[in-house]
Amino acid sequence: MNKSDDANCQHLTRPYCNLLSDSDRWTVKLKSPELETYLRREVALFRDMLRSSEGQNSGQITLEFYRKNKGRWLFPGENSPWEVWTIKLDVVNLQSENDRADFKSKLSEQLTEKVFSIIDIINRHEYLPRVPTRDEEVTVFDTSFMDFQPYLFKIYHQATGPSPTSVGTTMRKFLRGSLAL
Amino acid sequence: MAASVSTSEDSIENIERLFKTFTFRCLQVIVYSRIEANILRSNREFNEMFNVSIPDNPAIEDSLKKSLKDVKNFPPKGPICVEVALVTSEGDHMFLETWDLSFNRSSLDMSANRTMHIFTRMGVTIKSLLSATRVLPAYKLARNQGEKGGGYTLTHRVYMGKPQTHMLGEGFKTVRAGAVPTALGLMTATVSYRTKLLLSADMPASATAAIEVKENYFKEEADAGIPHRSPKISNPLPCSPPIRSPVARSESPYCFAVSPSSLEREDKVMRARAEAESSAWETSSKLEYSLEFLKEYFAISQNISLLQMDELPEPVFGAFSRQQPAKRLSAEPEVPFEGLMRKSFLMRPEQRVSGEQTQQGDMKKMTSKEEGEEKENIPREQVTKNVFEMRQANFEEEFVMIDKPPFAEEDDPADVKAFLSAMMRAPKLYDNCGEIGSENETFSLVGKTKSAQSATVSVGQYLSDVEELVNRLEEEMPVLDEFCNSVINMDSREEDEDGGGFLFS
Repeated sequence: MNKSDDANCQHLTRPYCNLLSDSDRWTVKLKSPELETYLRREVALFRDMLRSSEGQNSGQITLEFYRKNKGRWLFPGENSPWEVWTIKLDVVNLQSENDRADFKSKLSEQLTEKVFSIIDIINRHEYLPRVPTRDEEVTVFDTSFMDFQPYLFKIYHQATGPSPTSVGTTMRKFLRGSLAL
Repeated sequence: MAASVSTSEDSIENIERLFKTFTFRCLQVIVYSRIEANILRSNREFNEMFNVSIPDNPAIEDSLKKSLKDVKNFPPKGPICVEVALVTSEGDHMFLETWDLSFNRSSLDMSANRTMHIFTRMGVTIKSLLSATRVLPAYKLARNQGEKGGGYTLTHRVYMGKPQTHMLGEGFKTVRAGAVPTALGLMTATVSYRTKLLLSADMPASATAAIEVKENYFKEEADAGIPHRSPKISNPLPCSPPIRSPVARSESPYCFAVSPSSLEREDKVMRARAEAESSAWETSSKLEYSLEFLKEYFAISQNISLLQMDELPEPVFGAFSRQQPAKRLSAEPEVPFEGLMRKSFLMRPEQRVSGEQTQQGDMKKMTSKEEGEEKENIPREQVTKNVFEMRQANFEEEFVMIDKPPFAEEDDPADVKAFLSAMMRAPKLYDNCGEIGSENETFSLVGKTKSAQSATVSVGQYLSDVEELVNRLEEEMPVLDEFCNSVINMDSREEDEDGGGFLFS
């Protein structure tokens, strides 16, 4: 998610999406190596967690966009998310090559559906934080990257095992999530 | 179309220019994702409009600009479509996708009335389009095209007008690949793509059977140095002739089978007319009655005008019908599925149909007021002859229309309801005893022998007959009991005497 030119913001709009040739495959690639490295690292951590967890055959990785709210009086500032994307994965162990081929074709169809659902949601253009003034840009944009300034975001993941059966577990998760904010 | 503009940057001209660039960019993204990789790899110039860096190919850009030269205003009034097809080395075509860029002026989003906002949203849509073009099955085919790959090539065609999706086979899917809501309207990018990618031997035949494809369907202009085939069309051609569809099922002359609901409706109309003409019918079942009635009605009403005949469903001899199409003498070659093509028969001159009468044992008698005599087992050929002495139609213009078969899945389960109601309902006895002509056979419950000169039996008389019969049976009940007892006792006595011998000899 980039930001457009604005009279109050002196950052340049940089193209961050490239079509690069890699042998015979054309990929859509970010032009920011830093951001790409960061994302790859987070995804690798999630992958390793799924592989290493015993008995946990599913997990989810979450991309959360948030903005920082200024603290008032004695209360510290808090982060309020304005868009959260969660991808849930179930690990499937396949024994034969035939099963793998069948599963691969089904998975590609599922991926197509998921991509189009993401496209549909994104293209609704429902909410984007207002472009702040220069003084407040750190509350909306992540200025830690040298070549790219995305919206403030964080990535976290967890292994979800069997689905929670009790209401108490769910309530506990809600409380934990609200306290974390 | 005028939206409130606040600064010079947001003038209508700037916004139109932005839409033009965006439209061109979308076409670039789509076309580039479907051409050979070698072509793109050779390009070194990149266009970074909308924050997306795409290599530019001058030849393809020129062809796209020529395709859009007829578009005067942006955003365009009509949809702009891109059709992607796979062409094998043998020349077989398989249409893979149809992309559609359309602008809806009625859907407004007043929050995006500035160039900045529109630009941002367009950028998001371009990136969405990039992703969408790469998750579809055609992308993988595009990567493997060429002589070194699968031996096929992917072609594209840009045209203005409604997207043609009927060539995408069964089960094609339509998804939205991007949307730009603005204060001027909503610009959407939609794609319809084929899901079944099996190229069979039947495909060329089925693809061209129903359409007329001109020889210059894909115009190939002389573009030097373009290894790909890029048909560039500025005047789009419809991929298929207009398909005629019946306005209503009952009006459709082409039915795969006659549905009960339409039969019932026609049945009521015919019954009213038949009663007016004092036609007499005997039926064994309601459905059979309707079919027979329709068939024989046409034989009777030779003087019915064409206008009236248009209201009636025509007898269609389907594949599973008991009736066989009548044999006819004709110099014209036989037409396949001629039983389904009513008008093709009508084209033929009046013919005296000859042939064997395939009479059925259960054909009912009918009367004709005009002829005034009893007809038995009307020859089927005569029926068909009467049917086909109708208006003529152009044979070349006819289609074999197959209506929805009865009980097929539909929102309105009228057929099922009608069938069930017809089957569950008991046949009305009163109809059989209704106003019947004196020449017909009649019967009564009193046990009298059939008389050809019985008076008409009314409902009241029928009920009184029943009552009389019941009373008589009650009166004769003791006699019946006595008889039964005698038979029983006689059996037992004879058994005792003979030691269990047979009663019947």
